[in-house]
Amino acid sequence: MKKYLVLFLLLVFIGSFTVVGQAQDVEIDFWYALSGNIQEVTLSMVEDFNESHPDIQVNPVHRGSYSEVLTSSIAAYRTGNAPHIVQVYEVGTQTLLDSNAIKPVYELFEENNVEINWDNFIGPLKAYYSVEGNLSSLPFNSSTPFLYYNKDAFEEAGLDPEQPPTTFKEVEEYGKQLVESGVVENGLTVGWPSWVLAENMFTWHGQPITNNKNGYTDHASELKINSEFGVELFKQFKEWEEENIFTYEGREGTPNPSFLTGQTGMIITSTAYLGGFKEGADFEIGSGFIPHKEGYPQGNSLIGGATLWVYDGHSDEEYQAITEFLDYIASADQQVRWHKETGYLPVTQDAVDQLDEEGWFEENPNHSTAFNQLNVETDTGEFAGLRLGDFVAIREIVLSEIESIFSGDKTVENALDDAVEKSNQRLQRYIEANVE
Amino acid sequence: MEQYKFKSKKLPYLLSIPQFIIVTIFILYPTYKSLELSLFTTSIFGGNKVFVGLQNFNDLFSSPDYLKTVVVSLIFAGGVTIIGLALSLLISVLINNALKGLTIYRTAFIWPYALSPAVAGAIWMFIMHPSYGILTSILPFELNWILNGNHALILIISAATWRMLGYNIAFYLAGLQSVPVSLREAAALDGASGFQKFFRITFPLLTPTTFFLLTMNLVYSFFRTFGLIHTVTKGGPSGMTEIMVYKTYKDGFINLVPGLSAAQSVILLAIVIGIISFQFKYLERKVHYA
Amino acid sequence: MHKTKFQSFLNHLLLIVLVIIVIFPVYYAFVISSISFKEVFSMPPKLLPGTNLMANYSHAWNSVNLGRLLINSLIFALFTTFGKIFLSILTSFAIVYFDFRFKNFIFFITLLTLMMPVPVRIMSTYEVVSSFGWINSYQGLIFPMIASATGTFLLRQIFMSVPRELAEATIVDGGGPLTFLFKVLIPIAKTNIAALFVILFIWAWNQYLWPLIITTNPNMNVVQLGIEAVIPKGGTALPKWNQIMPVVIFTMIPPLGVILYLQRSFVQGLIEPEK
Repeated sequence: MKKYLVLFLLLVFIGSFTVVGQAQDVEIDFWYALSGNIQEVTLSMVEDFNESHPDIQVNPVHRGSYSEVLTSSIAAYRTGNAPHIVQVYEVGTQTLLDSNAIKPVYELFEENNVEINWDNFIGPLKAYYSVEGNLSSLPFNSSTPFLYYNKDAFEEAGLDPEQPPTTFKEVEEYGKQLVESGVVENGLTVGWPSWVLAENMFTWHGQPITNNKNGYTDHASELKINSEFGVELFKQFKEWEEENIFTYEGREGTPNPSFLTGQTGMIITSTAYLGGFKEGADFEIGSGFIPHKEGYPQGNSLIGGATLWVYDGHSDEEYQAITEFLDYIASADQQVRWHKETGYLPVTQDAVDQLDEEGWFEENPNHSTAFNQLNVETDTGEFAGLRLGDFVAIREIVLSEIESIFSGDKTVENALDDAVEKSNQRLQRYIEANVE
Repeated sequence: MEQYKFKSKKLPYLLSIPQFIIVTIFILYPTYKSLELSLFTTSIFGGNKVFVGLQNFNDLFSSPDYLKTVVVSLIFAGGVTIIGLALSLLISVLINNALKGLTIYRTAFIWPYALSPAVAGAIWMFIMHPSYGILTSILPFELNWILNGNHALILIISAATWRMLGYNIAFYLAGLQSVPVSLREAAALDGASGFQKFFRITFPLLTPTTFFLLTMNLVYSFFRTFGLIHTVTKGGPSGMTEIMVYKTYKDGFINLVPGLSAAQSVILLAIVIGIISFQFKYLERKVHYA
Repeated sequence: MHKTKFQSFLNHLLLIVLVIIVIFPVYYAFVISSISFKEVFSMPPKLLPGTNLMANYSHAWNSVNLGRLLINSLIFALFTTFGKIFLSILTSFAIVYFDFRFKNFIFFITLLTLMMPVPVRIMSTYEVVSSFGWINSYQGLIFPMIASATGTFLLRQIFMSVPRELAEATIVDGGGPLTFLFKVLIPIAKTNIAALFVILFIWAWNQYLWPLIITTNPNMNVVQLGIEAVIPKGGTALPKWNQIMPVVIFTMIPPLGVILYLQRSFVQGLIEPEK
């Protein structure tokens, strides 16, 4: 018995060394971080591509979370094992731009003579990921935050279920009415608190987050979130928190259940949750723009999510195949499907038009809210996005300080000053290591 | 007592060389390479490497956040170790006293040990979720680990302790079963009460086990729980659950600041040396050969 | 034993309460794995299994190619465990039964470096493995993991407490050190090795970061990565706990099997060998 076991293990061991692979095909490794049903959609898109391109084999490889995908791809690159395509979250943008390890996608399309209309990409998306007007990576899963609200709760509380709050004053008014009528415990919460409160709220009100145009004209070296606006903003939320108009419910997607179980009436979070909310909620969901604070200019909201980057050092043949794959991903048909099945924004205007023609937005008005918000007219000119060295660390620092505001450990001024001081040190160190 | 010694010049080297090679190539050398980075600031892709002396250490020690991770680590490791050992000792004594059902009890308690710390964390996070957790809905007081740092610490200590319970109980049960019944019966004849019996006879005999578990639990809680913290709190709220190894992991692996992470690794290595020396000094000399 | 019925009853009562507390999280994970997505977030929470068991489990099985992941984990965990045990036996035998110059050095280095947390050295280890061309191979996955501090430490303790007469007897019978190791010492320490097997197997089974970094071929992924793949992160979606928990339960079965199968040894083997 034992002998057989040993023999079996030995066979498995030896067998495992023989590599299975199909010759001839150009193989493209595509590392990504998506999970759950979005992973399933991604896989089926890749599968369709492979079927329609018999000489190309794209291998999708799930590499854990966003940070694990990026870190392991860096390790692979440093040892000459880089994948071809890697999905990187928006906070990794600066790191990759400074890496000297990537092949910008606009160059790729140029070199491989694949025609693509770059102007067709949604403006804010293109702006976020472009250097001097040229896209460095291909926008893939993109989102922006907006306001979701519980229509049933609004109705029960005697509010108009078709009228989401658009200003801070209305948030306060509606929030109070929701809470006082006993329909919900809290008026409003936010997901991805650092992204929504310390990034989007600033650009939405035309306020800079850092110097150098949020890092777009040169490396950012100074955070500016302890500005007068910043202090006012967080004081407002802190005040609301004391009256249950606002509640802090944690990082990333952790606040979602609070909205879904009807405990909180409104949530400002990523548009990417729309599909999940529709599936999980037993009330009707409405959507609106991020509420605006009176007395400040109208700015734009920011993009989040991830894009596809191409590493350098691969063969011409492989680059040809990669270009075809990216072209396929950016095609209107795939983008329409991507948007419908995942809730992420389609990345091109063609796709939006196609959705419009099909009547998709009419049937699903919540899906058009995000586009309308991205296309809103700004008073001040737009912030293309936010580019920071060590962005991941800085978002973490800011988040931590935001938490200390809502837990009451620090005053708004102290927390924001600390966030700025700590972040500036990181920005400085990043510049020392990467630029000078 | 010394173990018998064979006489051979070459054999001991031959025997220990495989492990030594593995350790040198795959652990010692990489560890050295990682630690070396503590004196540099580098770009993550490896293009730049600037010698900065002790700047990384200076940055760490001047940062209140890092000092906080030290305090949090001590509370966490202390909590997991003390609560874990006390609870598992209690349970083991109860199991050992139960005349019937020993196997069933033993099985039931060892069960959670099969889960990885990260998965254990995920389950506890679910049970204690402020909005829909079953435990939070039963408890008469508010438990909100999302905003309250102390509650968050309670959550991760509970999950980490729970997961290690089976391991501790197994060792204690083994220890208890080697305590001769005759000793306890003799004590009973002397008129000792249950508690006296336990503290005079049983507990001293369990000292080697306790010391061993102390070390293992410290190592576990200091170094092997970053998966749990990563799944559950990611170090929040406001750094209240950020233990040292998690920050090391985060700075090196997520924030991509190799130098800072390496400096923290050096400090961790010093702690490991401390724990091992403690182990040698007390467990080896005083306890085992007592 | 002098115990009243009441005491015994109290003892059992306390144990049963504790068992319920300790087992509850696992039970609850099972309950969640059997209900529908909407029920997961409904209040009050459900306490009894629901009707979606089969649907959830078959979805879990298919969505992450669980069968393949389980087999990979089994290969990885078994080879790593056997490798660790083999190396630990050799090293601790050398340390306990011989006098040689680098004895303490080897023991100390083994303990020291192995207690360094994996994430600290993982990138550098990756570079070493890569320089051997071992990325995406089972040898690259396994070899860097097969040294063992726990194993060396525990077996050293065990070997030290083996009566010295046994070794002397072997010599008298004309046997050498290796005869003693394989014919006497290992058979004596069988139970202890089984206990060590449990500990090391569970450790290896739960490894996540190393397999993730070193293998990029989906066919070589381990099951811990499968769990990771079903728990949504970032801006993706809501956690479908009812589909996550089946993966958790599946993943639990092999280590649980090992614990149950070797349970007696697991407890007895942690103390000195039977004499």
